Order: sequence, then structure tokens, then C-alpha cells
Amino acid sequence: MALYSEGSRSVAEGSEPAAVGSAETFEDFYVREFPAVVGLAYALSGSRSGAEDLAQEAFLAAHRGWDRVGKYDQPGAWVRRVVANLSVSVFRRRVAEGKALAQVALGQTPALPELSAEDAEFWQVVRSLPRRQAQAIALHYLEDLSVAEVARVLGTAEGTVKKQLHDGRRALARRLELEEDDA
Amino acid sequence: MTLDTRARRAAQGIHRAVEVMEMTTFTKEPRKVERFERFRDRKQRNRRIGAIAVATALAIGALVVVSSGALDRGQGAIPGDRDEVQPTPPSFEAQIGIVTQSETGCVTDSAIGEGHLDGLTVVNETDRRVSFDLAKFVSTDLSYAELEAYVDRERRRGEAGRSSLGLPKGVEVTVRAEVQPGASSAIAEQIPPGRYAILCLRAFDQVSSMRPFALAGPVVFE
Repeated sequence: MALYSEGSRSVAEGSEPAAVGSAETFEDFYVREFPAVVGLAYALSGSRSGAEDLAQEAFLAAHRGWDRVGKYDQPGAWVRRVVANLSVSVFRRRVAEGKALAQVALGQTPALPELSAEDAEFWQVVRSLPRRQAQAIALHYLEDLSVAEVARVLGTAEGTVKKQLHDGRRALARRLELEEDDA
Repeated sequence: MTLDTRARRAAQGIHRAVEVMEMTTFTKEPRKVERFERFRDRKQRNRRIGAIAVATALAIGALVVVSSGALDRGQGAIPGDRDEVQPTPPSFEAQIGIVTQSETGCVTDSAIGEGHLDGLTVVNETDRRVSFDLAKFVSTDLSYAELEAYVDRERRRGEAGRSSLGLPKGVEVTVRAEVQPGASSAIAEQIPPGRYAILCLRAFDQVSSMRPFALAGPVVFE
């Protein structure tokens, strides 16, 4: 196959050292990280009823691969990347919207309260940005992550994140008619 | 007001909402991990119900086809013939995994990692043509984590316009599915039993050929 025609070689050549993590249990990891991951899902999906499901999906994926994920340096970064991807997925959003409608029909109230109109407007504008920019902005502001940390979560280069944050902030400032800080 | 001030305020809004959710649910389930266990159990139950529904629909569909075939044969049909073509409802619960490639990565649904799969649907959420390679582990020399590290290096090389490293020893690509932008595809052909990883491929700005971008799995096909 053309893709791999340049010959096979062992991945041991030049490979990064395997991540070594603490032997934290999945339960401890879940209890510590769940609130922040739900928050990220809420900001990026905008769904009160879907955000918790998206976060649970991400933790379910972590739980199934805990032998591997639990050994990463930062399993929290891994689960954030999963939820960030799930939350901006069109397919997942439709599923979340469907569940929200079903909940309304059943008279159930989502556990997450509504945001104030001002905050809701801000996150709605964030969600209207290109996916990568929205993810970078959400991670940067919600979790106060540095460019390097956002890059690590999203699995991309720092320079790319810097540009995404710059473009995202500029678009946000323009759409919300705000003054952009000199960050 | 500056953008930073507004953004930090909006972030606080999310934090407060999550705190309220935590307090509300804590009164119902003091042990926080219960929520996760409930979600996991519900997913497993829904998947079982879904599989049974699919199997039932298939069985009913087969019955309808057979019945209409028998009617078409008209008066010539011999009583008792129907027994020979009576469909056998599937006796298994089909486990179908979904792998979605987006602009930011490759995401698997919850069926993957459950232990085994009977089929796979691949979804392209990007605005470009992408591929999915089913890579079978043919020896124990290569671990999933090592393959993940390989894909990470290939992605970075692709982004930098550098040549491919070549597929590492220990895996063989058995099936490749190319998917158009915004489309999905079911890998229907017979997948040989074994342990697999799904390589998500795409063309990079500086490299026109498909190159590894992300990895999903591992999965076991039976």
C-alpha cells in the first residue's frame, strides 16, 4: 500500500519514552476530574442535558482503556481531548439535542442550571467559531490553561494553538463588540 | 469591558452551573462514582436492547420476504415447503462500533473497547476525503501504545511535510475504507478475527497522500 511503501521499521526507533503515570484508581480520577470535564462539555456543546452524557461518554472511554490511559502522565488531558472532540461533533450534538427533547417531554429537568443570558451569549459565540478555535478558547478560559497546556490537551503544536487563540479572540471581540486585551 | 473580563465571567458562569449540578446530584447519590456506574449500566442495557431490536427487525424482514415469495409462487406452493426456508433469527447480539474522524481527531463510540465487535461504521465529519485503515496486530512485539506513538510521529511528520516512516512491524492493514466529506460507510466485508487498531488517515496541507492522523481502538473482531 502506497501509504506505507517506505518500508517498515520498529517504532522503538526514535520513539518517545512511554508515559509513566501514578497508579491512581479510575474512581479517584473520575471524582477529581468530572466537574471540570462536564464544564468543558457544557461550554462546547451548549446542552444542559447533553453535557453530562458527553462527559460520561468520555469517562466511559477512559474506563475501558484505563490500563493504558491510567498510565499516561496526564490522563486528565486525554479525557479532555475526548470530550472536546465529542462536544463539537455534529452527530453527538444531534444525539444530545434528541435526548434533551425527550427529557422535556418526560418532564425531567437537567441537573445543570441555565446560564445567565450574558454568559450564554458568550459561549454561543464561542461555539460559532471554527471547532479548533472554540476548543482552544474554552480550554484557555475555563481551565486557565496556558498555550502549552492547551496544545497538549488538543494534541497539536503550540504555534498552532497560539494562532487559534489569536484568531478566536479576535473573532470573539469583533462579534461581541468588546475590546481585545493585549494578551 | 474587555474580552478577557467577559470571558472570565462567562467561565465563572459555567463553574457555578457545575457546582449547582454537583450539589443537586450529591443529595441523590452521595457516592459520586454512582453516577458513572449508572450511566455505564444504562449504556450497556441500551446496547443490548438495540441489538435485540435490530435482530428482531431482521427476522421480521426475512419473514416478510419469505412470505411474499411464497405468495408469489401462488397455488403451486406445496404446504410444508415454507418450513424449509424458515429464516433463523440471529442468535447473537450484533456489536457495531462507530469511529468518527473530525477536524480534531478520531473518536470512537462506547461499543469499541467492550471486548469484541461484529462490524464497524466509519464517519467522516471533515470537509475533506479521509480514510480508515483496519490494522491487525500480527505479533505481540508491538503494543497499542507503541502504535499510538507511531501515529503521533507520523501526524507531526505529515504536518511538517516530511516523508512517511512506514508502517511499523507487528501490524498489517487488512481493510481500508475511504469516506467522502460528511459521509459515512459501513465496513461490511468479512473482517478476519483478531485484535485491531483503526488508523485514521488524511491528506495534510503539504502532503497530498493519505497519512496517519489519529488512532482508535484497540478492538477485537470475532
